[in-house]
Amino acid sequence: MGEVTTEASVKMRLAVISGLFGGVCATAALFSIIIIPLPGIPGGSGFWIPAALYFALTLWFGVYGALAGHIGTFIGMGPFFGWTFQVWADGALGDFIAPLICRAFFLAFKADPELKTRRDYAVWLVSVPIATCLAAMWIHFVNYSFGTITFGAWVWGVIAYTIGDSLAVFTLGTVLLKVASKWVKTSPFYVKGRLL
Amino acid sequence: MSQKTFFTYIKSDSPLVRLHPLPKVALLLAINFVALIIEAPIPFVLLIILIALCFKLLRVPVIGLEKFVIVVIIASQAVLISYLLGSSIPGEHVYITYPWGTYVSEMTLLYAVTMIMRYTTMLLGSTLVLVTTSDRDIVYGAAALKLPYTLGLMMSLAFRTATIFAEDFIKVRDAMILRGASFHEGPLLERAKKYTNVFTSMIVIALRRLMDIAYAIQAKGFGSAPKRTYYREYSLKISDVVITALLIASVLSAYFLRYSMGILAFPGWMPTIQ
Repeated sequence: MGEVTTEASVKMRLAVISGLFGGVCATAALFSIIIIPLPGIPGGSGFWIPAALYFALTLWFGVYGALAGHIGTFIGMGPFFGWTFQVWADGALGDFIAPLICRAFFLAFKADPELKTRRDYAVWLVSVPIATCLAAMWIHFVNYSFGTITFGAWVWGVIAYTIGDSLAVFTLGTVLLKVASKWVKTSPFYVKGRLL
Repeated sequence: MSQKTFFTYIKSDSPLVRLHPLPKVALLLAINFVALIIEAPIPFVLLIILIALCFKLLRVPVIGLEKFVIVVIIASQAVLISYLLGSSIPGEHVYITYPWGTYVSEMTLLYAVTMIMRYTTMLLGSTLVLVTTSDRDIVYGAAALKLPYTLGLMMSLAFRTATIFAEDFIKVRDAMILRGASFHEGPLLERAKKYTNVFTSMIVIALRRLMDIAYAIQAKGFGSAPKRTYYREYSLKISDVVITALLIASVLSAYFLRYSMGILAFPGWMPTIQ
């Protein structure tokens, strides 16, 4: 018997994606901070594992995957940095923007998240540093606006963040996309060809 | 009777626990926004004292607060290093001038301390609210703000599944350790690759759980009715509306005092992009 799918039930499924994978990203964030902490930066990590997760999730589930990163980062950073407006505005919002930029690249260049061809790889290799750099600029602009860093530290912060996050996304994200994309595509949750 | 909140179980005799989710969310936002608007050191001292008094007067336990003292110390180091090495805030006395053009004056130290107080205010304020708030309050708060209830559902699911996934993570990691993997040896990238294997398994576990939960929620009829009813009834009293209005007014007043009258601005210096 075929499954009856209504607009409301689809919305509900997509909300579950954000919530459930938000929990996964929160766990990943917690362990990233504990395993590879950044000295002097509470809630920071030298290898941001959730970045790889929400980049892959956004390529699979669109904006709902990005929301998972957003929620996960906020929850994960909270115990170390407080659940303040600053954490929401910089880390969480930055982690929402970055994977969406990457997905926009994938949609614009009709690349496949399975990374089958050279073009898919090229889009992946170019879009990730651009996306993380733009997110880093936003995140450190927020930190600057809140007075946590000076403008001089902004530049170094952007460089360090772009390298650190891109490294995590390339190391873990590439494996995730190669291993799990095919399986995710067959699930009823896969969101194709839509940015939002 | 005790109630589970974000940080701990607390007795529900605190007025903050009994408060409607709407003024709670408003309080959380108001403290953070006011702290963002203020840039003067003395108002921050007063605000921190006021929040500390609220802990005492509203009978809020300081359990969640203790660990944040370490966070404040670590964050303070980062702020101090950033300002001491990379800012040029004019003052009467210049103590050190660096070859790259920045310098340290007495105003540099005052501004850095003010920024630490801003962060501390936000941390204290958020803790005050969240130590008396449950994830259910967030869901009902979102509903009270007329936000789609799916947003509340997302937050609630994330909070509740984070602990389940933490257990999954430990299980998968322990299974790998039993097969000879070591997560404490080798260079950073090598260790990161090992965690890649753990999180690949986690994604597969999560996808399977995703289907179970999605179908369970669908089977319970979520999304089928255009208007939702709620198991718990939170009636919005006049006092809740008044508190919310006062909190909004406090943010607007702070904005007016800072940008129109300059009272809450940092004395003698305006931050600019250098």
